[in-house]
Amino acid sequence: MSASPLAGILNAIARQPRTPAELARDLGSSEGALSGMLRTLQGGGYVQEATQTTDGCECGPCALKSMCRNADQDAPPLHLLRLTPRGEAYLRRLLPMTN
Amino acid sequence: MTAPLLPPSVPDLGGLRLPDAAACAVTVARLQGAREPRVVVVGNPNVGKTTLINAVAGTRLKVGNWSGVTVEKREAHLSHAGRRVHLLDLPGAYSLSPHTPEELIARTALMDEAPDAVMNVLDAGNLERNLYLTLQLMDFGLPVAVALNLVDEARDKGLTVDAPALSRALGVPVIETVASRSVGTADLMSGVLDRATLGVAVRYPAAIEEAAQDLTSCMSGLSTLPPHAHRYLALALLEGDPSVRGRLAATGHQPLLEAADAHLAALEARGLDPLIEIAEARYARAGDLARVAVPQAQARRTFSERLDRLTLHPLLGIPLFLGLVLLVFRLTFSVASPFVDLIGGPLQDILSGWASAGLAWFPLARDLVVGAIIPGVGTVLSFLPTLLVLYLAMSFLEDSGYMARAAFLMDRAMRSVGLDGRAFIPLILGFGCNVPAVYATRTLERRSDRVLVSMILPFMSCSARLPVYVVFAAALFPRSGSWLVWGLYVLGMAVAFLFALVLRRTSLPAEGGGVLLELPPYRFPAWRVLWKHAWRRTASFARRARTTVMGTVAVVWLLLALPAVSGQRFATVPPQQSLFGVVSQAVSPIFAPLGFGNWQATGALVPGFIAKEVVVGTLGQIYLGEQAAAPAPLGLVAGITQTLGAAWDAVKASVSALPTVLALPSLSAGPSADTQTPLAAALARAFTPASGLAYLVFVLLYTPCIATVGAMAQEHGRRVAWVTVAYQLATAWVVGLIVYQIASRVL
Ligand SMILES: Nc1nc2c(ncn2[C@@H]2O[C@H](COP(=O)(O)OP(=O)(O)OP(=O)(O)O)[C@@H](O)[C@H]2O)c(=O)[nH]1
Ligand SMILES: [Mg+2]
Repeated sequence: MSASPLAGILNAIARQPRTPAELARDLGSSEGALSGMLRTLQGGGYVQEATQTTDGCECGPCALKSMCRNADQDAPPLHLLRLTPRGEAYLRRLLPMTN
Repeated sequence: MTAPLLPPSVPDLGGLRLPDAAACAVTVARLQGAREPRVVVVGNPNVGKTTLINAVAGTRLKVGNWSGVTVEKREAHLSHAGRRVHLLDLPGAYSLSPHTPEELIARTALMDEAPDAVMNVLDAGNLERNLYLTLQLMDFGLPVAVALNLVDEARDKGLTVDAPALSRALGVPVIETVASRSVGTADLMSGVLDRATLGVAVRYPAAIEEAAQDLTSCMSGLSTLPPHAHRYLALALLEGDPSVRGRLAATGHQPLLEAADAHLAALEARGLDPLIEIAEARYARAGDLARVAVPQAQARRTFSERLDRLTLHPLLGIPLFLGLVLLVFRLTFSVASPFVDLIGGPLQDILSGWASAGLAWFPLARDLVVGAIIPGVGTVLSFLPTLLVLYLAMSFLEDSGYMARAAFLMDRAMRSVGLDGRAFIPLILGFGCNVPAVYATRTLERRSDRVLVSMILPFMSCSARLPVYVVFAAALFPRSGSWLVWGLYVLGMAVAFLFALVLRRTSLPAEGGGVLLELPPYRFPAWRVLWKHAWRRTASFARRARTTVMGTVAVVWLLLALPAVSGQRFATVPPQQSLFGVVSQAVSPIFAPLGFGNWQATGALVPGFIAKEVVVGTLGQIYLGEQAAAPAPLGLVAGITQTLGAAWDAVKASVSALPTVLALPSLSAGPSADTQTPLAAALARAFTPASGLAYLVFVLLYTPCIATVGAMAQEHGRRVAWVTVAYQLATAWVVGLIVYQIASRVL
């Protein structure tokens, strides 16, 4: 992700909303290094926090609760990021071939 | 156009040496003049700016290990090598694009305080993020010196920063410091006072550089704007920075704003978005600089990250997962089977003996208890040790963080067959019990995905099916039981994926939102927690044995006692002529091509619809009930001593089997033929290896239990539930047939 790190992030988020930790893993970077970029992208209006839907799902007996980001309502909310229209527009201009 | 003036020692990372003109009146010479030089200290929050100032100036400004301790400008005066210096402590800022009040304070100070030099404090352990601010500073025409602080912490993280290389690339002095221990502080002050200089700025895309140059030249005649900030202001205008625009508007620089707007419109017309392209160029360069300064950064990874490279490997990940599952079954077999044999063998015999003696005067009750409840419910309960070990191993995989990785792998596989990636949650849950797994499909967005996942989910082998596999493995494959069970689990997954592939209606990639996995770091689970989890699940299995299994066994007993042939009497009718036997016999030809066309095997499948572990209960009831004669009762003391003796033997057998778990080439984990329970011995007589295998495949794949069907009807409607029942029956029959036809030729 050396040539255009921001475009790399937008691309990853475009495929699926991600948390910073997931992004860092996907891009082979670290959360520390990404935090500034995410701030810039959020400040510039390219990405936004996605709202989470638990959808009335029963988490009580679930064996995967410890791993599920939606399970624990008391836990601090995760920053799930998704693209804004501006972010999508920028990506489209970068990659006129796809989509 | 400006030509880059890179000295040969600077690695060419595409940076830009600013012409001296941009530095305007600010020169290093001023630092050496008579006036007390003013140095501003800038850096990200919590990097040790205040600690550094306190160290060099002997002041006591407030420090704290969290961001935002310094929220306003603080000053300190000191003398260094005979010179008076004025230090200005600024609040922490990640950037100079003011998202926070602290960033605004820092930027205003840089523009208006007319500092003679900037001391930029960096966290050596987080260079890439810290360098963004550094690169913004380079757009100011101010002499900079860098304090590479927190090198001790970076070293603890395994990071060594090549300060000279960073200095060459940035074009400014870089001095390593440990502020909290006053290490390097004297060097730092000399660096700031004697060697601070304009650094190598970022080279932005050509169109943006041209626009910035043009705006800078617009400013050159304006005495109202600090000359050292021209380039920075031009870039901020192109970034659309609202506070810079506001400030210029308020100070009567309307023409400048109009020029900026014209440039922005022109850039936009060329398909450029300066805000992100400027940031992109800075981050790209920050990344390059970080790689120059910490070349080994990529190599050092945390333990979890390194392990993940293996567990999440695109090719090795799945085999590793399957290998671990095999290991779990080998462990389950070798540790639990001595106890299974104990409960299913001697213990049941002793209980039967006592029960038949105690109920001698109540033949019907005796028949129910000794001929149905003890062999039926007892057989199911005899697998409690198996399930306890299995649940312990599963809890270990979950709590250690591995199961999240397995889910991640599934997610990948799911998406490759065009399903919503989140389908892995219900599928992994299905290994425990299919019912909650059906409810878990609610997390999927599209109804077609929810239905499809529910329909393939019962192929994931739930833990209730394990006792059936185990008892057949003990009877027919005593030397390779764990491999057999493993093979069945894998077969179930394979069939599920095959159907996913065939049934999917759309190949649209899943859209975002909702449940996603957070991969927790690996850790060694606490035994107490493991035990608690495993115990709770085992207890719920035992509870079902007392309720569902007990009820079904009683009904089957009744059906076995009801004569279907005239001339026979209740409870004394031979099983073949009972209602159960006659109906089973009528159905059994359907299974003849699968090799198990006898009425006992066929009959046991029907109550298995209530709950799959009932299949073993019914088999126990039929085969052991047939051997009617209850063992002679032992005395109480003899019974207890015998039980304790057998339990001790089981413990010894279990412990001595442990080392064989990891001995992969040997297939010997599992009960040996000579310690078979009576049920296993009966099954060994009734089935061939091929027909036993076909039976297990059928049990794996045939209709889900009634609770799962109910959950499906509730979630997706009756039609889906019935279709699932029918198509799974058909699938089980066809796959069972194929397996039998192949196995009977091979085995
Ligand atoms: N190990 C170590 N700790 C340091 C070093 N420098 C500073 N610290 C510690 O880091 C913490 C933050 O220090 P501060 O001086 O408050 O940081 P700051 O940059 O002024 O923070 P803000 O004003 O909030 O932006 C304190 O707990 C310091 O003791 C260092 O070189 N090594
Ligand atoms: Mg401070």
